[in-house]
Amino acid sequence: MRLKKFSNNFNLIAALLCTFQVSFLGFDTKSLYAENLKPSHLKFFETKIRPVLANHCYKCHSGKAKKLGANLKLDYKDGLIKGGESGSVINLKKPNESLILKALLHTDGLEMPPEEKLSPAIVADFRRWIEIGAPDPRKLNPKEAKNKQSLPWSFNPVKDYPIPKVKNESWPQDSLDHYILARMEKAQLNPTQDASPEVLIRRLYVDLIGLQPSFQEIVKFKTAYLEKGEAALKALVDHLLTSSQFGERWGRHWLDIARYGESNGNDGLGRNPTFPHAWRYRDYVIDAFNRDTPYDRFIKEQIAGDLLPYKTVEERNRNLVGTGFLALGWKPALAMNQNFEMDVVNDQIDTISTAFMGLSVACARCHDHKHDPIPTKDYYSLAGIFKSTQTMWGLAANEKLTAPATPLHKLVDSLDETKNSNTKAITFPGNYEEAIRRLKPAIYSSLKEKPATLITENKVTFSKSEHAVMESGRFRVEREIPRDNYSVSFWFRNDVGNTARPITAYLFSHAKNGDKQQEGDHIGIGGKHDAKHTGKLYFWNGQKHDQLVGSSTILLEGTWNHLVLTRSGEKVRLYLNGVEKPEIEAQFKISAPEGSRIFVGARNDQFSPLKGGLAHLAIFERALNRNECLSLHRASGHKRGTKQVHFAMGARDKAKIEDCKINIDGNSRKLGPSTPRGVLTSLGSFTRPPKMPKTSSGRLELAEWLTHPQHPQTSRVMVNRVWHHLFGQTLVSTVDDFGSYGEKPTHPELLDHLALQFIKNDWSVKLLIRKIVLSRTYRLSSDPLQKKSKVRDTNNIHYSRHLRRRLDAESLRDSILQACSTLNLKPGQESAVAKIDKLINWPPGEAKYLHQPSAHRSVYLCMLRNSPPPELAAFDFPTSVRVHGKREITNQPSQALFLLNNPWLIEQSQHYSRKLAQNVALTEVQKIESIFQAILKRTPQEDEIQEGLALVRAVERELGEADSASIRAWASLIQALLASNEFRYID
Amino acid sequence: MGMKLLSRRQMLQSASCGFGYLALSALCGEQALASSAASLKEKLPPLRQRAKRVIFLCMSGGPANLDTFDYKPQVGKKPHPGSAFKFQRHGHNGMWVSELMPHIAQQADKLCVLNGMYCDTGNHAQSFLQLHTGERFRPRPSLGSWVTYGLGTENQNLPGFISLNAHEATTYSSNFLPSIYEGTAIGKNGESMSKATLENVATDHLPLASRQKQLSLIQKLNRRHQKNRFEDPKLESVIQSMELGFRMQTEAQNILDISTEPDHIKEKYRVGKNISVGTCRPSDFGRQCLLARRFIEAGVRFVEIAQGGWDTHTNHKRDVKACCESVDAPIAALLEDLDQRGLLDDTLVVWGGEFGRPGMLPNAKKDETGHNPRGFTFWLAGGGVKRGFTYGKTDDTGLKAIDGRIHFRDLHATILELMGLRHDTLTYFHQGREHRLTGPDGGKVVREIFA
Repeated sequence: MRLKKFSNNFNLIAALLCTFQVSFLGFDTKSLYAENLKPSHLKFFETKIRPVLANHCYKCHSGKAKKLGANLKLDYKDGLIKGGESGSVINLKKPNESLILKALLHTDGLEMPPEEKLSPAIVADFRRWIEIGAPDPRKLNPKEAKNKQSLPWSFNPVKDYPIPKVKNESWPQDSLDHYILARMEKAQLNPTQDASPEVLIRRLYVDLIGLQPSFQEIVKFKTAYLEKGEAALKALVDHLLTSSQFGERWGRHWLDIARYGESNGNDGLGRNPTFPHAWRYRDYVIDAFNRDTPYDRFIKEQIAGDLLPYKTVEERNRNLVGTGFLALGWKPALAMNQNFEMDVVNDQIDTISTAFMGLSVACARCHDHKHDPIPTKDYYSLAGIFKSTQTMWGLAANEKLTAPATPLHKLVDSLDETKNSNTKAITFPGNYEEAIRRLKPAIYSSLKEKPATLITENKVTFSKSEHAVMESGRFRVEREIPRDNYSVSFWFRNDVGNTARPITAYLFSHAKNGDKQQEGDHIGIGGKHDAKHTGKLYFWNGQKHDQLVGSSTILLEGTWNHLVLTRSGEKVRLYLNGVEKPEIEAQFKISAPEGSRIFVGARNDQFSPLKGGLAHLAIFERALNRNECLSLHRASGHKRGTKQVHFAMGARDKAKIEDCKINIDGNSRKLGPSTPRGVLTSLGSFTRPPKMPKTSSGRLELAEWLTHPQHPQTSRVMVNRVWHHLFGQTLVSTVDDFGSYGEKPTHPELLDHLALQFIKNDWSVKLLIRKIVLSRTYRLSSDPLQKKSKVRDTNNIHYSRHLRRRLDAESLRDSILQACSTLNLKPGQESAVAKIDKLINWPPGEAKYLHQPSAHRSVYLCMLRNSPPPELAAFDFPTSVRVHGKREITNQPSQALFLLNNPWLIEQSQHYSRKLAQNVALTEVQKIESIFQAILKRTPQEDEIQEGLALVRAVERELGEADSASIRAWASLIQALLASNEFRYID
Repeated sequence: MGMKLLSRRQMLQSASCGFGYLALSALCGEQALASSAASLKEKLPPLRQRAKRVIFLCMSGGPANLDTFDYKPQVGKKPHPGSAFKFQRHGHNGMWVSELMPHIAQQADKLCVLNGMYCDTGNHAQSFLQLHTGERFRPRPSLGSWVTYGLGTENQNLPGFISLNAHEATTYSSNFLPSIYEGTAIGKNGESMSKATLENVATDHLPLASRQKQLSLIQKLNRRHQKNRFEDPKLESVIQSMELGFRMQTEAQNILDISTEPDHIKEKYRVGKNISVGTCRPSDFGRQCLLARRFIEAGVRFVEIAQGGWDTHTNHKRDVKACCESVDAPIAALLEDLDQRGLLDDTLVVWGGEFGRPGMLPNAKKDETGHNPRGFTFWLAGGGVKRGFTYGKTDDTGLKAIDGRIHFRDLHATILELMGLRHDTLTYFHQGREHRLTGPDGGKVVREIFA
C-alpha cells in the first residue's frame, strides 16, 4: 500500500478509509479462491493488480465508495466483467480493446485515475493480466464475502485427534509412530529397516549434543544395545539429554531464531558497533536448554523477564538477561532515519511474531496484511506495548549517528544490592587511623569533620558516616610537598554516571593553583569524551607535555574505592583497592613547577570536581613502597579488588506507558488514530483478550497470551522446530511461516498430537525430544528398503526412512576439533568483544582481527554481524539479521576449497599428526587404525590401510628433505578423512 | 520446473551422459536440487543479448563529474560553478574529456557517456547500496547476483560473480536469492590489492602432486561411502563439487597469477603502480583491471572492481587528480585490450560511483566540493551500446540533470536489457511477493543508447 501519493490530494480520512477498505479485503484467503487459479496467476494478481486497484480505483469504484463512479465496481471479479455505464471494462478476446487499458493510457477520452497517469509498467501489467484471462480470486461481492472469512490452517485450535489404528501393530514404539505408519500404510508404503546401533548412536550424538561419539563409546553402545535393546537406548538418550553439551547444541538452534549477533551489523552508514554484553544472552540460552526451562516460561523471560517476580539473585539476573532477546536486533542508523524508534519496535514485533507464532506481522506496519488476517490496527496495538518499553542496547560504540546510548540491566551478586540501602556511608575499623599514622603522613584527616590541616574550598560538607560529601568543592594543601617523591592515599566515591560528563571527575592534582596549562600530576576518571577511558582512571601531566596513561578497571558509580599514588622520581604508580598489581605504572618526567600545591577532589584549575565522597586522606612526603601502599587498604578491612557490576542488554518498561498511533504508510510522522495496546484480534477467540495494564507496558500480558495453552500457534511452531532439527525435514516445511503463504502440515494430526503432549509435559523441550528420538520413526535407516517397489516415497514425505544430513557449520568445526583432540569442552568465557565497545569495521578489515583463535565449541565464537567467524562462514552460517528457523544447505566449490586448503583445518590435522608421532610405540598400521577410529569411528579395511599408507609414503617421498615431512604426510591423510563425506554426513 | 518431472534416479542416469549436468548438480544447493532449479548453468535470455558479461568499474566516494566527463565552461557574464580543469574534444565525435583522463580520452570513441544521471540521496552508504541493489534502506540482492540468477555463468569452474576490493558484503550479497548467486569477494576487508586472492584457493602446505593424491584418496573414500548407501544425489553432487573445487584452485590461481602476462601489458595496465595522495588510497587498480579482463576472458559473468577515494572534499583538486591518475591508464588499457581481443563487443564496461559532485567557482578561495545526487556522470562501453556517444546533460552549472535523465533504476533496467533480461519479469518470490531489482517503481530502459 502506498498511501503517500494520496496525501497531497486527499485528507487523512480518505487515506484511512482506503486502509480499512483493504483491511477488509485482506480477509479473503485461499479458501475463497473457489476456481483453481494457477498459483503464478494468483501471485500476479495479488502483487501487480490488486494493489493498483485498491490504491487508485476503489475510492470511486467499490462498494465502499462514497459516491460510486459510473456505476462501476472494481472490487470483485463480476464487477469488472459486468462493467458500469460504459459496459464491461475487460475484453478477454481482444485484450488491447479493453476499456480499462484505454482509461489507464488516457486515450479515447478516458482518463483514469483522473489525478495522474499511471506508469507504463503498470499498464503493461494490466495488459498481461487480461491476456492471461484476467485471473481474479475476488469471486464474491465483498458485501457477500464479509461473512465468509476463512483463516489460515494454523489459526484453528490444536485438536486432540484419536491415535490412528495401524495394520502392523508390532512396529510402533511411541504414539507418534501410529500417525506416521497409518499414513504410510494408506499410501501402501512400508517403513525401511531400523538403523544399526553404530548409525543410531552417531545420529543421536549429533542431534542431541552436536558432537560425535568416540569409537570406544560406539563399541560399548553396540554391545549394550544388542544385550539390553530398548533400555540401552533409553540410557544413552537420557545421558545425552543431561549432558551440558545438550544446551550448547540446542541453544545454538535457538540463537538462530533469536537473530543472535554480537554487533549491530552495518547500520546503513557503514557503521557496525559491537554489542559487548550480548554473550550473556548466549549463555542464558544455553543454560535455559540445559535446565530445561519450560518453553512457556522461556518465552516469558525473553519478552517480559524484567516484569517477573524472583526469589533468588540468580533468578533475577536470569530474567533480566532473557530480555536481551528484545535488544539484540539489527538497527538502521538513527542519523538516516526518522522512524528509528519504530524500526526498533518493528524488529521486536517481527521477531516475536515470527519466532513464536510463525506469522509475519511486520508487513502490517505499512498496510493491512494482504494474505493473513492481520490488520494494521493490530500491528499498532502491539507497537504500543513496545513503544512503552525501553530497549537497552548500551553504548552502541558511543556513535550517536548509529543509535543513542542507553543504560543496560545491572546484574548483581546479592539481592541486598537491589535494595535501596545507603551506599554512601562507609565504615572503617577503629584502628584504621592508627595504621595510617604509623606510616607518618605529613598531612592526614579522616574527613569525618572539616580538617584543620587542609583548606576546604567551595561546597563540601562532612558527616560521621559519609565522611566528606563533595558537591563541587576540593581540598587544598597549603604547603609545599616534594614534587619528585611523594605519596597520596584516599578513599573516594563518584556519584556521577560514567557517561554523564566529558570527564567524570578529577580526583587529584599536584600543580600550580589555577594554572590553565595544568602542568603537573593529575588523576582523573574518564567520561564520555573518550570511550577508551570511560569510567577508568588515568594519569595525565598537563597540556604542555600531554602524556596520558589510562587503565583498564571500570569504576562503578556510587561505589567506594581506595587509591594510593606514589611518585618515586620519574616512576609513577597507582594502587587501586589493594590489588598488588598497580592499576597504572608509568614513567612521567617531573613536570609540576615550583610553587605547585596538592589538590584533592578537583583539578588545580577547579575543572570537573568530584561529586560524591572522600575519606581518610593522607599525604606523605616520600614514595611509599608497595607493601606500605597495600597496607593502607589492608588495614581498612574492606574486600580487596574493585567492585564490578555486570551488565546485560535487555528491556524494561518506560516511565510513560502509552498507546501507539497508527503510522500511515509506516511513516512515524503521519499519524492516524491511537490504537489501544493489545494482541492480534483474529486470534482472540481462544481466550479473552488480555487487559492491558495502565502502569506497565503489557509485555507480560502479551507473553501470557502467547503461552496460553490454547494458543493455536505457539506450541505447534516449536514442535515443528524441534522436529526439523531431529529429522532434517519438517511437518510444516515453512518453519517460520504458519500463515496463508506458508505450507500446510504434511501430518496435521501428528503435529497437533505432539503439540498437546508438549503442553501436557509442562512445555518440556527435553521430554519432547526424548519422545521423538525414542520413536521407531526416528531410528529408521537412511537407506530405503532395497526391494523394488512400484510405490516409492521419493521425497520421503511419509518418513519411510531417515534423511541423511550434513554436519552444519558448528558441528563440523566441533567434530574436527574433537577428532583431532583439540576440543576444549569447558564453556567459552565471555566473548572476544566483551571489553570492546567500538565500530568493528573501521578501519576496513578491522573485524577480522577481532576473531580470536579458540578451542571451545563453536557456539562460543564471536558472532559479529557482517563478519562471521571464518571457520563457520563457508557452511551456510546465517546472517543473524532476522529469525532464521531453517538454514540453507548449499553445496559450493568454496566449501571444497575450505576442506582442501583452509589453514585452520590444516593446522588441526598437523596438530593431530604431531601428537601421533609422539607415540613411538605405534606401528604404521596401528597409526592408520587409530586415525580411522578417531575420525570415521570405525576400523579401516585392509585396502583402506594400504591406500592410506600409500598416500603417506607418496607425500613423504615428494616432500623429501622438506621440514617435518613425516608430520605433514600423516597430516595429509588425517585431512583427507576430515574432508570425506563419511565424516561430514550423518546417516 | 522441468526438473520436477524427472525422478532423482533419472536425473542421475542422465548425469552420466555429460559433465555439464554434473557440474550443474554439484553447484546446486542441495535443497535447490530437490525442489526448484537454482543453478549456475548458462540460461538462454528471453531477449536479444547485446552483452554477455559485465565489468563494473566502481568509483566509490562520488567522482567529480565536472572534472572528468561533463564539461561545464564558464558561460554568460556571471561566474558560476563549473569545471576546475581543462577539457578537450577527443575522438571522431569530439567528445569532451578532462585533462585528468588523458589515456581514457584516447579511447573516447569507445565510450557512451551518460551525463544525465541522478539518484535519490547524497548519503554515501545509502546511495552506494542503491547503486548496487536498487534499494537504499535494506540489504537486497546485488546487481551481479540478479545477472547470474538470470543468466547463469559460462565457466562452471569459476564463480559467476566476482567482486574485487569490496568493503561491504552488502554490495555483493545475493541476499534472498539462492546463495549460489552470491558474489565471491577478492580482497575484502582492505587487504592489499596487490596480493588479494580467493579465500582458501592458494596453499603451500603440500606440493600439487601430493594434493592430487590426497584428493584421489578423498574421492575413493567418498565413492566407497556412496556405494555402500542407497542412491543419494547429495553424495554425488558433493563428490563433483570436490573435483570442481580442486579444478578451481588451478583455474582461479592461473587467472590470479598475472606473472604470465607479457611485461608490456603489465606496464600498460600500470600493474603495481599505487598512488597514495590525500583521499586516494592504493588499490593497485592496474592489477584489478588486468584481473577483470582475465576473469571475463575465462567466462565469469560479472566482475566488479573498485577504486575508492573519490570523496574529495577539501583539497579537491589534488585528490581528484590523484584518483584520476590511479584509474586513467589502467582503464584505457583495459578498454583497448578488450577491444583487441574481440571481447569488447559482448562485454559491457560500466564506470561510475554513488553520485557526483557540484562544480567549483572559478575563483573560489577554498578548494572544496560536496556531494551531488541531482546530476552526475556514468559511462558505458562495449556490449551493445553506441560508441563515441554522449547522452543526457546537466544544466549550465552542472548541478542538475535536465536532459536524458537516468536514475539508478533506469540504469539497472538498461543493463539487464543489454544482457537480454527483462527487468520487469526477472523476479524472485520472497516473503509473500515477487521482488525485482528495479523495485516497485520499476525502471525505464534507455534504448536511445543502444547501438
